[in-house]
Amino acid sequence: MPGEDESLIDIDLTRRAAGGDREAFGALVTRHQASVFRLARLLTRTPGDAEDILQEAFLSAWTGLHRFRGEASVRTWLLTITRNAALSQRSRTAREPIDPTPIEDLADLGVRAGWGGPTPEDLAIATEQRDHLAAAFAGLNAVDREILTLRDLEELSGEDTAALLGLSRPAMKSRLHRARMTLAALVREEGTHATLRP
Amino acid sequence: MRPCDRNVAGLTCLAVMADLSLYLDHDLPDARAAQIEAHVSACQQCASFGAAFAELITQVQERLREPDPVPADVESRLKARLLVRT
Repeated sequence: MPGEDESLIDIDLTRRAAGGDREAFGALVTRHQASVFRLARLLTRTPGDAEDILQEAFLSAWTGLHRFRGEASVRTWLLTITRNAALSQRSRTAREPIDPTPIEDLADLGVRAGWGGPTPEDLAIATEQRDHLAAAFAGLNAVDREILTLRDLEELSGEDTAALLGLSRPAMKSRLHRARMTLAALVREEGTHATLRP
Repeated sequence: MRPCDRNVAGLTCLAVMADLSLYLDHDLPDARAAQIEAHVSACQQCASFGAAFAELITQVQERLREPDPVPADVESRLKARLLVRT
C-alpha cells in the first residue's frame, strides 16, 4: 500500500499533469502501469486486450485530469477509470458479463475449506505451496478475483474498494469474505488433489 | 449436518466463521471482536481454522502481490500517443 509520501507525490504529479506537464503524467504512468495492467488483465481475456485497456485508461485519465478531485487516491482513481474502460469494452464487444459470485451457503464453503472438519491443518499445509495458491487464485471467478485483487493485493481501503465496485460497504465486505472463503476452499482442494496425484 | 456448530461464549462456530474477515480486517466493534476471541480460545476447531484462514490471507498478500510484468513496449507506445494529443 502506498504510504502518505507516495500519495503526496501522486497528487503533486497529477496537479502538474493537469497543468499540461507531460513528463509529470509520464511519471504517473510509470508509477501505476503495473497496477492498471493487473486489473486490466483480470477483466479482459488476452494480454493484448489488457494492453488496449491500459492505453485507453491512461489516455482517458490524461484528458480527464481536471476531473480528479482528490476524494480518493490517484491510484484508486486510475483503477476506477481502468475498470470502466474494461466494462465498456466488454459491452461493446458483447462479451459475456462477469458472473456474480454464486450465492453459496457460507457453511458449505467453510466445509470445503476444512472448517469444522477432522483435518483443519489441510488448509494451512496447502497454503504453504505457492503453486496451490496461484492455481486456486486463477480458479476463482472474475468477480472474486477482482475484489481480492483490489483489497488484498492492491490493498485499497474498504471504502475505496466499495466505491470502485459500486457497492455499499456491507455488500463489499460480504463479497470479500465469500471470495476469501472460496479461495480457501480451492486452496485446500488443490492440496488434496496434489496429495492424491501419483 | 454442520460439523462444527457449537455455541461457545454466546456465539456459534458458524457465526465466528462468518465474521472471520471482518475480525481480521479490524472491522468489528470491540465487543464483537472480544466475543470472537472468547469463542476461539475455548474452541479448538475454530482456533485451527481461524489461524489457517488468517495465514492464507497473509500468504495471498505476500506471495501474489507482485503483478505480471507490463510488456516492455507498452509504456513507450502510450507516451508516443500522448505526445500527439493536445
